[in-house]
Amino acid sequence: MLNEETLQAVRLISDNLLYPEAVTFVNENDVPEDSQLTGLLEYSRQNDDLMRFIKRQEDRDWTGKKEHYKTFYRSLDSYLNNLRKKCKDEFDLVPADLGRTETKERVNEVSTLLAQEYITHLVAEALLKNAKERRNRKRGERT
Amino acid sequence: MEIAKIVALKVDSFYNDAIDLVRNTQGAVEKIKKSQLEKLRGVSECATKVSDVLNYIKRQAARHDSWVQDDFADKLLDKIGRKLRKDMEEVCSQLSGSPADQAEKQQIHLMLIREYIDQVVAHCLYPGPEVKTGAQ
Repeated sequence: MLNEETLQAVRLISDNLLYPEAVTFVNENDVPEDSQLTGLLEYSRQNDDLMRFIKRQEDRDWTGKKEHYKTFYRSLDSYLNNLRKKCKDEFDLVPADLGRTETKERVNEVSTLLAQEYITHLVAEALLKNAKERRNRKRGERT
Repeated sequence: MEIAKIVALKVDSFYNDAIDLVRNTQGAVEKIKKSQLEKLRGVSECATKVSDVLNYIKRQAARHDSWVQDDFADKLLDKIGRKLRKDMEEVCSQLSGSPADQAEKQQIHLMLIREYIDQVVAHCLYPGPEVKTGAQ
């Protein structure tokens, strides 16, 4: 169970770092359709499932209009793996005096939370991006 | 206590800002359901992060056409994400003693958001003559 101090640190990282980075990620990448994004949000509740889900999606043979999904999931996988490393090295969210097992557990706990935060920001931004594109297409069809 | 006082002074300027937003987005405001506006106020009240409010607005804008009419959502996002951040920095610069840390800054930003959303929702649900006619 994480203490209030750690949770507050996560809230600050979420607002000040993960949020702007998620917005940038969506701006720089083509994003999958809404159902994929909703699935991603669901899987983010459990980090083990999330990483497995992302890997599975990355390995799928996406073709045609969905070809960019592979790049999206690969970039996301890389970002989240990097985030996991930062828990210990950069964010100082894991006490240095913990044993190996405890450290691993704490890293899992914190990186799960951070991944959830990042995915929440990413999905909100991506859903909005998809909706804007849909509305623009609709407007284009009318004129 | 000092923070609350400085925030209260800043919030006085929100009244006209909120009226401007509501007046300039009348088409959207008329279509957005009352329950959605009340939920927006609820989300801002319970938010522990600024992004909780921003993400809620984005999800609503993605789901409902009414939220994007007259750029209502974009204007709200800009106000909360950019302008209120500036206001928060201004509040922090007026504090005596040691500079505000990141957690205090986040709390002040959230206080400003709650006050602003409260004003916007009030003007949306109970528009006075200044909203209807433009007189202030």
